Amino acid sequence: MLFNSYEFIFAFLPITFIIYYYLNYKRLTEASKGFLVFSSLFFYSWWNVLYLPLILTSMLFNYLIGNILAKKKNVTLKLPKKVILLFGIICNLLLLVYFKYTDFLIENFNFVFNSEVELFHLALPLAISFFTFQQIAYLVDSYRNETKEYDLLNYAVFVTFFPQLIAGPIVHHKEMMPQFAHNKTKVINYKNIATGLFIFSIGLFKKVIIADTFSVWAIAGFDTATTLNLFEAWATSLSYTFQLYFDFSGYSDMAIGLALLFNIKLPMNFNSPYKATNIQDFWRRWHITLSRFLRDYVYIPLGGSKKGNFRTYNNLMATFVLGGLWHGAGWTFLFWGFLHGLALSIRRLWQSLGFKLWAWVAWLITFNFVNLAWVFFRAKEWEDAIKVLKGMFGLSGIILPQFLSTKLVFLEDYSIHFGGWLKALDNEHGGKLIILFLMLGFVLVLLFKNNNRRITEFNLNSKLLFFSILLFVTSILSLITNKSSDFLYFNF
Amino acid sequence: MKAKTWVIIWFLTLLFSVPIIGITNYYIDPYGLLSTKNKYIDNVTGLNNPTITNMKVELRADYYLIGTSRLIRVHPDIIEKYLNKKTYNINIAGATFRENYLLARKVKTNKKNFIFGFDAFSLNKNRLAYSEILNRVSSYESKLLKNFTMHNYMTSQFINASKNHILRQIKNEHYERYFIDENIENENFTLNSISKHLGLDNGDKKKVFANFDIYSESEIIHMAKIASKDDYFLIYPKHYYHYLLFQKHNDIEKKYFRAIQLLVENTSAQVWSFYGINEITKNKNNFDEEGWHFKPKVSDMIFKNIFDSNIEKKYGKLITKDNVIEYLSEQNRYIKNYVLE
Repeated sequence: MLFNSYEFIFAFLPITFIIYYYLNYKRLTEASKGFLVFSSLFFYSWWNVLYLPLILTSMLFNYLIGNILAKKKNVTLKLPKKVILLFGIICNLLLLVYFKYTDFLIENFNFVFNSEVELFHLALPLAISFFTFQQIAYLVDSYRNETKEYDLLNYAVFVTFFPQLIAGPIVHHKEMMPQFAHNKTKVINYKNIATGLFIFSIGLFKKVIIADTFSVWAIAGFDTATTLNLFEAWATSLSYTFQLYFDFSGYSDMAIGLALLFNIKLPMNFNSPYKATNIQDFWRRWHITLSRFLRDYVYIPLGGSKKGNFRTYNNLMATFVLGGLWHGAGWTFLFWGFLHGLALSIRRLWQSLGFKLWAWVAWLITFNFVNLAWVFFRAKEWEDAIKVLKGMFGLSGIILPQFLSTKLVFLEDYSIHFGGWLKALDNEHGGKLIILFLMLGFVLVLLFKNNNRRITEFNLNSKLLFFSILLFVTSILSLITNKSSDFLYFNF
Repeated sequence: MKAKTWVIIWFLTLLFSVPIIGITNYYIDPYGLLSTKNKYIDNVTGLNNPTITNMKVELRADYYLIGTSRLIRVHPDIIEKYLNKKTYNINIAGATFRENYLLARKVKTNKKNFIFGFDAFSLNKNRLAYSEILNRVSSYESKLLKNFTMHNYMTSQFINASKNHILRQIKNEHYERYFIDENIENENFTLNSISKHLGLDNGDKKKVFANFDIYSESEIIHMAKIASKDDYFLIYPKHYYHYLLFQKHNDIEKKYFRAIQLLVENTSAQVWSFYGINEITKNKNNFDEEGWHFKPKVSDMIFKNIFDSNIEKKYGKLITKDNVIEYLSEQNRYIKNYVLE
């Protein structure tokens, strides 16, 4: 079930909300939690009920291992806790590798050894990357004695809570469980509902109106066009850059808004990432809960920055290559991670040398780097990435709008042509709509407040009420025309 | 404002705003679903939207104009005028035969009639190899399976159309301005420019006639047979340069004529042809910039010649089982021997 679908908005959500609070109102606290787990699993199974045993098994296994790890002395197994932790992590990773990376490994094996081992063609179970990482974090936290309570029902709520189950934010046990345990969580809080509806409306609008519009041009440029001129290539890459941001941050906003309806505060996942003025700053603002996971459970355990410069650069590269692979089983994802690791290393070196840049130059470099790197992230094949990059560097020709032909006709001597300058993406509107949306994209990501500030500064006034309804109604009406589309991060 | 009040107003506004939007759209009726009177003609005829097409089909008019974008210049009121039957134009720009066949079947399932544009390029089955065309076909197929519901009036596209309709009315724009402008425009294409436009000399760059291969005979026969005597198949005119090119490239004429012959031999509907070189198809100003779409004034002539029993039939020919072979051979010969002016 998608957050941006009718069945979710008009059936699943109201029913779950009403029954959850009714059970709490009747002081059936355990039943209300049980119901929340049941409805979250129903929400998960909506795509494919066959995935249900997988998440249940994973949940029970990790609950068991977490419980063993949390006990001070292990009586039953008489094994060092570290071994049990490693066993737990390896099992989780094996599950992920099996479903996500088997075909990728076989393809590479076939390539290297010129063999013809058949691919498994396994369907990627929904949310596996997210719930696996969340549970690995839980195991490590249990090992470090940072988890405080070990009730199966509570653990099930922690893993399956539907607003964050599918694509995060990736949460820690310690930041969720006290909230579920708190008495205030169990009663209706109208301020939270109002804030939740407001944030959900913004997220829905970001997804349905903005991201889905950009997606049309990203698909046309990356997947359909055979060649892209300079402007088409830039419009393609920028369309994807904005699509990804509005899609994923829209999803995160919806998740945060939905959780607020249940009085749960999820951690923020985005903090205006395209305002970043260096790559380190970018990673503090983009998919914050994944960055936090990679920092706490990969980078720091590898030694972080405590073991000299060389090891620091190595650790950065390793962390980001893994981060790239987490997003998808493919060399383009790995290369994207490599590029970011490299950029972070260069940034670190630059900083250590004491160089400084004007803020706007720093922003320009950072934004363009991120935009270029997304090309590899988005491209299904290397050829697609090369096609877009060739266009971006003007190697596939330059075409200017027709209205400039009278004044700039001399440019034809330099192989610059006129007319159909964004034809590959939008023949119907002659490119006007793309330019308008790209400008809008820049204005929104650079000049507007992010939702964290909106939550903090949220006021119950009629202006925000009207704004919220307008966004919600517009999105709902648009959903009637356009079928609800998947969120990009559902694929990762 | 109290939080509880805020939330209650939020829900109540939502509850009422969506139906109000729907009712407003219903009465503004920018697409001319209730009536084409005082509606902008480009909204009535020029639409590529499976939802609106489905609404038109489900609203059960007596006649449907089915075909490609060449029907954009056909006002459904012309048919209403001659036949006194409610008519909707449900053309699809760049339609494939598969889409038109689907629409025709749906119309016949509803026991209604159609006027079907039997177009050469829509008959090219290889166009389905292009993903964007296939996606659109799937989109129409899925929409046409749905029943009409009032929530179709509540789409953002409908709101947009209503808003634009009101703005144009405020500006006092003529309802048929699109047709008026089209009719007076002078065109200056050449045989070479059309050939270039279609990419006929240039391999398979264009999707229209590239790799031209017609649908199977059984599919065409099936289409022919679902029609009743009150239906019409029309072979709409193009500028005659196209006919010269049809003979020259990819056996288009041969394959197209075979399809026409199959159609005529297997249908009980009337088949009218406006194909060939004549005073209408020789006049560039009767067509758009590539000689592809006939102008509204030609559409008036076409239907006058079909439906007006009081005039002498100078333009167009009713093709029957008895004359089809002779008619097509005659066209072939005439075009082959024609000396380009």
